[in-house]
Amino acid sequence: MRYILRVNMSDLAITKEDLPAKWERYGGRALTSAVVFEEVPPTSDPLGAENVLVIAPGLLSGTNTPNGGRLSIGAKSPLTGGIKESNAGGQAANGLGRLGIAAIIFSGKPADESARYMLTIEADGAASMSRVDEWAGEGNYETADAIKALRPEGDRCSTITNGPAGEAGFKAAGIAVSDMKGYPNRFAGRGGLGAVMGSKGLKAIVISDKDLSTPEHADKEAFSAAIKTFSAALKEHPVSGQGLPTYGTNVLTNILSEAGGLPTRNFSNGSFEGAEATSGERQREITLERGGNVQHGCHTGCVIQCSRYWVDKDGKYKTKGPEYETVWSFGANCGINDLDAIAELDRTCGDFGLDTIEMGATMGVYMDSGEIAFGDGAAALAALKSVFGEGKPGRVMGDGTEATGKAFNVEHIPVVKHQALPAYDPRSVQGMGVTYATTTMGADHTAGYTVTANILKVGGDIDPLKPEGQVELSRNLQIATAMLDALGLCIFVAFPVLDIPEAFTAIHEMAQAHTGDTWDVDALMQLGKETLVYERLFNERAGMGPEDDRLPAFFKNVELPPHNVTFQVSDADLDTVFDFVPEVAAGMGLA
Amino acid sequence: MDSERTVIVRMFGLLHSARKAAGLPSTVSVEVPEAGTNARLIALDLELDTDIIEGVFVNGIVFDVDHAVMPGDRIAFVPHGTPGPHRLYLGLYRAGQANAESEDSDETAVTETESDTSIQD
Repeated sequence: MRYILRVNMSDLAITKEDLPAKWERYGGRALTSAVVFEEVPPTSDPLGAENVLVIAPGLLSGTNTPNGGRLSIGAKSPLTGGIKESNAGGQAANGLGRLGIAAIIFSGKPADESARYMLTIEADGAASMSRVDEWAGEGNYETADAIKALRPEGDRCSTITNGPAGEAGFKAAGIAVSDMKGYPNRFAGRGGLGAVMGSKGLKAIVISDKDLSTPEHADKEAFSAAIKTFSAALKEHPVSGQGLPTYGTNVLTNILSEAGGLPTRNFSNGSFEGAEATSGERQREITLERGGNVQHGCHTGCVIQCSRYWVDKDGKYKTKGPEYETVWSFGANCGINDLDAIAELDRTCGDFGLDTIEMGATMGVYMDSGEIAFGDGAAALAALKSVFGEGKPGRVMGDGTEATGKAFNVEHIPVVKHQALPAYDPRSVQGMGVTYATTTMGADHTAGYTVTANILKVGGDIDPLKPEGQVELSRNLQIATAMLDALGLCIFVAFPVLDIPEAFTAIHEMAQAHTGDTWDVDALMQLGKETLVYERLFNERAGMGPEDDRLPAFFKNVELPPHNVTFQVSDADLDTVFDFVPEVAAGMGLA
Repeated sequence: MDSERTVIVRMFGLLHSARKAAGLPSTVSVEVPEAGTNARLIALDLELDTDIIEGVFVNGIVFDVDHAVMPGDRIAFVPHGTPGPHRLYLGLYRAGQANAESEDSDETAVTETESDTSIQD
């Protein structure tokens, strides 16, 4: 049976408790959001003792479910002021799943703010806390190396670490998760959850799953059959079987630029003349020329394998990917057309523990202020390092796009709910604009992915430059994404699921065979809806209203080249995205 | 080549790699008839595998591969394999569906059509 590990950071007490029956069908994002909803006062200080940090693997994590190793980290966000679930790849979810841990819940905070702690969970389930004050201020890579040095020979463990940005309480701080080689390069980046981890004095979590087998299934034979079907679908489909494994997520740069939807120079243009030089196609060529790796999974059980390592001109590891969102944020959005410069910025963010989306958008507004020039990679790196050093913009950059934009009097600040917009301009990709505006997370690109025939029907008819159909599509995508996040599935399973009916069937068959509960398509979508209900109600109680479900005014008032369009979805239509919440909430017994 | 009759053609993803592997550029200018042509004919002249094309950008908007192309246009072929919701939001899914329907109904007519397109790398 799955259990919850509770860690009180005020007195360092560690307790285990059975997963409550009401949450037995929850994992991942559904569980983090349910816990935050129930246990965190909505108006509390995100960096205070009343906030919790919840780390939850998906419902299927630890099993052999293909691409089922995603990790959810939740809390009240210091960036948005609302609820936050930030999703990461890496090995930790697999380890937690094998240990039978449904969630780790950190509450309280130590009286001594200089103290640093590491939670270690051994393969036998024993959990202990140790002081690691000497690691204060160390980067994620150095911390990961220090942990490796402490572990016994032959151990198999994963790490969750907090960089100096989180320790400093920066609102753009993320949390690093180690990949299969132990590099701390997978991130729960968004929403400032690193600052929450830092507020609790938590520097690192070590999870050993040495010699642990996968969890038992209620029906082993049925589970094996379902994962076989699911895996075949992922390998067969051109998105998960060809496009992503070959080029990674950065296959999108050329496409979005061609569509006029690649935000360039702080969202002032939709096409970037440096798109080809920073594209996934070019990234693959350079990586292969340098002897780097262009295809591997970020966690055990990944069959899509869209991860890759960027190596420097000497062939030495620099960072992961970089992923599309990072290439956009420090590339097109900053006018930088040099993948090495982008990778250096990515590595620096990774080591500091800063969200690359937030920081690239922050750099974009800083460049827009005229303090440094668009396209100047060296100046961008110096500006990024100023968060812990000398010069401008300094510490304010660590608090993200809105804080930096206001400090330097920038007119166009691309944020929703105080969080930076990611890599798709909502004027040329109007459906993304609906999701950005209304998601419970603050502007978030992963809040809207797929399933159901309804999505395909609507998605088959919409025009990216017009408002019709966008609300319905966004609503269904957000529900489906919440469901995938709850199960711990990678969002890139979405299109095989859309296009190959057997793949969708296989998801509820895996859930049913693993848990022994009854699952079907309706139950899966209900899981997504319930997750969103917790998030929506929390945000309402935290003081958010319809006025927070809006894009910044310039998206409606300033035309975006080359299509010269504005965001056209009406406020009234945006307010209907979550019209299912009252009915579902009532069914859940929530007022 | 008459510059007033040229079309800029870009090829992404697997189409890009296939061109590079053959020692060919992934961006070319082609000359098209004054009355225009369609994207499929351009793809065939470039010896692209049209089966793997999901959609074609024509001046920044996604269409199916039989869409008209006029002198002065800029086009880009996109193979199947675009991740994320963009495949829906940008219209690539819609284009792929239209391609499949078109190929079912009129594949022979297209392949027998004589092209009037000349290519310059």
